[in-house]
Amino acid sequence: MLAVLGGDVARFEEIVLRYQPRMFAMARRYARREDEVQDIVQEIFIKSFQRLNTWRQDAPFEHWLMRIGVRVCYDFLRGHQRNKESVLSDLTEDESRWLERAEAPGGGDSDGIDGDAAKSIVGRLLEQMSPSNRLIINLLEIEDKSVKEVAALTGWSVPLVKVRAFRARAEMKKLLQKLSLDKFL
Amino acid sequence: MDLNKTLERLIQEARRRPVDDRVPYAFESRVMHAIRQQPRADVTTLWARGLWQAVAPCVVLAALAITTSMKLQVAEGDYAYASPNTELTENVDLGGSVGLELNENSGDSLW
Repeated sequence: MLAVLGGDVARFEEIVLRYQPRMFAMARRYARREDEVQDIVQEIFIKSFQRLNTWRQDAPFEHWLMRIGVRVCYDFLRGHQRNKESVLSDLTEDESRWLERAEAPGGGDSDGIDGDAAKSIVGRLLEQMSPSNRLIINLLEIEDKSVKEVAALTGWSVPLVKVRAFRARAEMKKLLQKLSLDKFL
Repeated sequence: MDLNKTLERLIQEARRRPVDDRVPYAFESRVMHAIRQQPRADVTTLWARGLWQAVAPCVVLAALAITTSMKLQVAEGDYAYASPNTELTENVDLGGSVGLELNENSGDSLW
């Protein structure tokens, strides 16, 4: 890191090699198309290179990089919020079956239920949500981070994260209700 | 239907799925190429960029200054053309009013 700060640009490749799997995992939560995912990851590394002088060396580099990553993903969501690809009601057969089994009385045991279908339904719900709500649900619920961690990553205050989390869950529940109603109509 | 329960189960399932962290072949080369293509921000570049950004406001200011100056010149020209008669009338009027005022003042004079 110090070598890069000293002007040795080529050494930045080691940083890219080390952190790119984590960045790809993060970007794939926010973008579906592979070209978009690659653009997001590239943007994260370019931004981190340009702002490397703002990294405080007493803080872990990974946290600093993740903060830039979250910011880039959020900007991506805000820039693409009008291009919602999937329609909420167009469920696949597996997704419909998953919902039917989950809604059936006594169908509480999820062991036999296809997890891919569940993940796909969550993806559909998230795609319909506002950028900030989607970011909050991803960080808090899917990645299972604490409110403090989310506040540190996003730069929002702890009360703001809590308020946004409450609203995000409400929006997600509303979308799920709509999805269930559309399925049976 | 218990929406809360269904939602909780959906999120649990989504959380349990493995994260796809595959990296395309030679992606680091693409990133490094993009980084090397970025223009280096040295002092000269920043100064030149600032100068270029100042061009448009300067042109607008110059145009405003020219327009204002031309309008002032036109107004002065009009005044000069009309001044002999105007001044005379004004003088007459002024003189009359002043005269009246003086007369009135002289009538109600305190001294």
